[in-house]
Amino acid sequence: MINDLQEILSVNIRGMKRSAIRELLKYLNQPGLISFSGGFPAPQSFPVEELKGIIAEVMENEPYYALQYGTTEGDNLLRSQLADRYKKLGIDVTMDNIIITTASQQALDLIAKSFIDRGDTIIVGLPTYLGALSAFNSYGADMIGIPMDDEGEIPEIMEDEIKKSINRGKKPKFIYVIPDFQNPAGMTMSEKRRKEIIDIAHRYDILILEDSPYRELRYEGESQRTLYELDGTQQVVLLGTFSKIFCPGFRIGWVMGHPDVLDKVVIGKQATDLCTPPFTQRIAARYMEKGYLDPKISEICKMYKSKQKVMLEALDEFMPEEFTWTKPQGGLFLMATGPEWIDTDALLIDCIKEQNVAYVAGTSFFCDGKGQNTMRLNFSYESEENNREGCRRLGTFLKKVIANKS
Amino acid sequence: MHYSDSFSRITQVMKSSLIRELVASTKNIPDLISFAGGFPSPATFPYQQLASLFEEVVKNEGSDVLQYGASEGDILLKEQLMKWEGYELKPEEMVITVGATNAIYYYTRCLINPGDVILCEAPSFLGTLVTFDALEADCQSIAMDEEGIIMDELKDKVRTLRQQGKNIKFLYIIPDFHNPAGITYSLKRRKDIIQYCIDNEIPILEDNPYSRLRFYGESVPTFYRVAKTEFHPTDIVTEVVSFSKILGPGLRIAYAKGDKELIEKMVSWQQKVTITPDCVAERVVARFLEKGLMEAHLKNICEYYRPYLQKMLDELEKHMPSSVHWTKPEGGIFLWLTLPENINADELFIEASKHKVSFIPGSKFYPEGQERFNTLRLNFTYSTFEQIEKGVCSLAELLKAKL
Repeated sequence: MINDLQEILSVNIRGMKRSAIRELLKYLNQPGLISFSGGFPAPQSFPVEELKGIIAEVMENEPYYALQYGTTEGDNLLRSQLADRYKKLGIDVTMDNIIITTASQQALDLIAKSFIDRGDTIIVGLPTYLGALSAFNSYGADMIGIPMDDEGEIPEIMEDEIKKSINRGKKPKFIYVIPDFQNPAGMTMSEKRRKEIIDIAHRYDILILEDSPYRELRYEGESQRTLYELDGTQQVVLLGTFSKIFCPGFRIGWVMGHPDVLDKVVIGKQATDLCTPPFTQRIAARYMEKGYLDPKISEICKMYKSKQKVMLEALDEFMPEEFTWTKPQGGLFLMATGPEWIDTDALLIDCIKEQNVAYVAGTSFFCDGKGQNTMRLNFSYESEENNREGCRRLGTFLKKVIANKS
Repeated sequence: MHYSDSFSRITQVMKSSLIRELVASTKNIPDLISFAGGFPSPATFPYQQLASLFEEVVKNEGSDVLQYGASEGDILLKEQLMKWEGYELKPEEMVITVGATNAIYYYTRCLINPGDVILCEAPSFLGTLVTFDALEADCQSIAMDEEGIIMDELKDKVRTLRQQGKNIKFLYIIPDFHNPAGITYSLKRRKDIIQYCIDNEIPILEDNPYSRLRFYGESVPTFYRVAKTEFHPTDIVTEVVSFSKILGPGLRIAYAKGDKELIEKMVSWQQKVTITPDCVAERVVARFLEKGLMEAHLKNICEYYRPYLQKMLDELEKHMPSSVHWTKPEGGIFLWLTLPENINADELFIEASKHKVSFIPGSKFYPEGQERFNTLRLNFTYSTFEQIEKGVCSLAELLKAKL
């Protein structure tokens, strides 16, 4: 009957491509493949033992709550646990500043829905998180990419682009930043840089969207204060998630911000999935209440620090000298950059076929389509041994590519 | 900063669910007897079985289910669902979602541009109308009789809308134990609608949260099944099935099945919005089905609910004035009352809350501007026998006084 489904698919979706990361995930089943592509946490980091006990307790003591519909805003116990945790860090928030989402990808979708009309401008990093670009893109946002230095987006260029956009009659709707261990570029903004960006936001009255999935995964150096805290006026909306510090199979994230913004996000969420599973929210809340979260984070940091070290050493040993890479103080990723002529996008399938190792091609992270000579490497998922072996394979492949060129 | 200047156009006009506001308005009334909710009774949750499954799944398959899962849904759950459905179905014809609203949202987002028409029933489920509204669809409602939407009304509506140059994208229906209307479509009506929709190229979105909650009588095959087995080609129906009224809404597990190209696009949206449903919950549902626990459990739920439906029907019969009519469903969780034309259930709602009884005024279940005010919805699964007796009696007294 529907001979050409494309006909009835809306323009919104017709041009939509399956995101590059998920395409790559299909290759994960190839035997012996070493994958540096996803943003997967190590399965060894999952608190299986603790969870068994908590699940039993929740089902014993509060099954009716956990299995019933919950409020769209989220489980009050979890919201207050999260608020308390931020308060301990000196950030002035209450439960009313926090709502729970079905992980932070949904928060990105809902924020995009709340603010973006087709053709609206937003400010993003060059490069930045692919899933955010994809969420913003699906609402027809016009993205302006800001080049970055070692500390993040360059404020002068950002201000300049904002001015230009305003002159075109398009005041940007928000500035999207990942200030801690930026995905994929790895840098962390200094406090000075954070303040400069906040100043710009205040000067032009623009919202900041602070995406903070890796913040807790710091392996060296001093923790920086969040933009949310430094701003202090709730002009920053902060997104958090349990995906990297608890387990991604429980889809739980949160949005922290001004109640006026949260109200709109909640209304949008009603129309999207009503509520995040109360069952998993309550488990997460009890997990925090029992004090499991922070010791677990220390454990994860130790594990990832070591994995990162192995990868960095292996890259030193095996990569062609034409390549450089970042050495982030935390997070899950490194970004490697090769000579200008290298096209990592075009090489990926060969790399998997010949050497059975996968990365994410950098172009996916650049809203201007550049970055073809870059790649993102994840070090959290594979074992230390595989991190080393994978780098050896990658290095072998890239050396061959370079040798063939000359 | 003034956020209101920055909000997107749709966000500025978006409305919160009216039911949520209504329910909130009666929250602080002590001893309120509420027939307003749409919650399943917690007594029907198989929590002991679920508890041991959760423990098992985390213990034995923790590194799998606690990790990111597939955007299309857990393949093990899909395999179990295919067996449960009992007819030929391929994994790529299904997507698992975070509850039924989520599936309906993705379906709608795949098909609707602002201003496109969705045909729906009068009345229809408010929660879905909110979702349609948020995507700026133009909802056009079609009157129903005891067997479903009325064919002539459907044909007239389609003709008129197409003459106006409107783009009709799909028909949204809740054929079994309709929320709120309580009716179930006859087999003949199902076939007539499918044939008509095939002839006129109108896809059907079938919302099916209640069909397994049948307390009496014979079940009628779903639109999806009828289309699949008796029509050709068969891809016109997308069916959304929810576990919320069966295993507990807190799990947030539902699935959609339909044309695989459309399902693939829904998966693309899921990938952008939640990446994947809750993987632990998916696997628990899979194991629940695999262990063959579903059949006995469904029997238990139906046996549990049946007396409550009967009780409410008896009390309505006993107390209501003869000018009030109501549906007599064989399952589900709602009844639908039609009052004399001159009685406004919105006003009755306010008076009733003073008498400590609550329900949802029927007007909330129609698209804006197409309301009928002399109707109301009663839920019978969330109150005790005593509450049903007392609540129906007070409601009847109020109505008698007005007549």
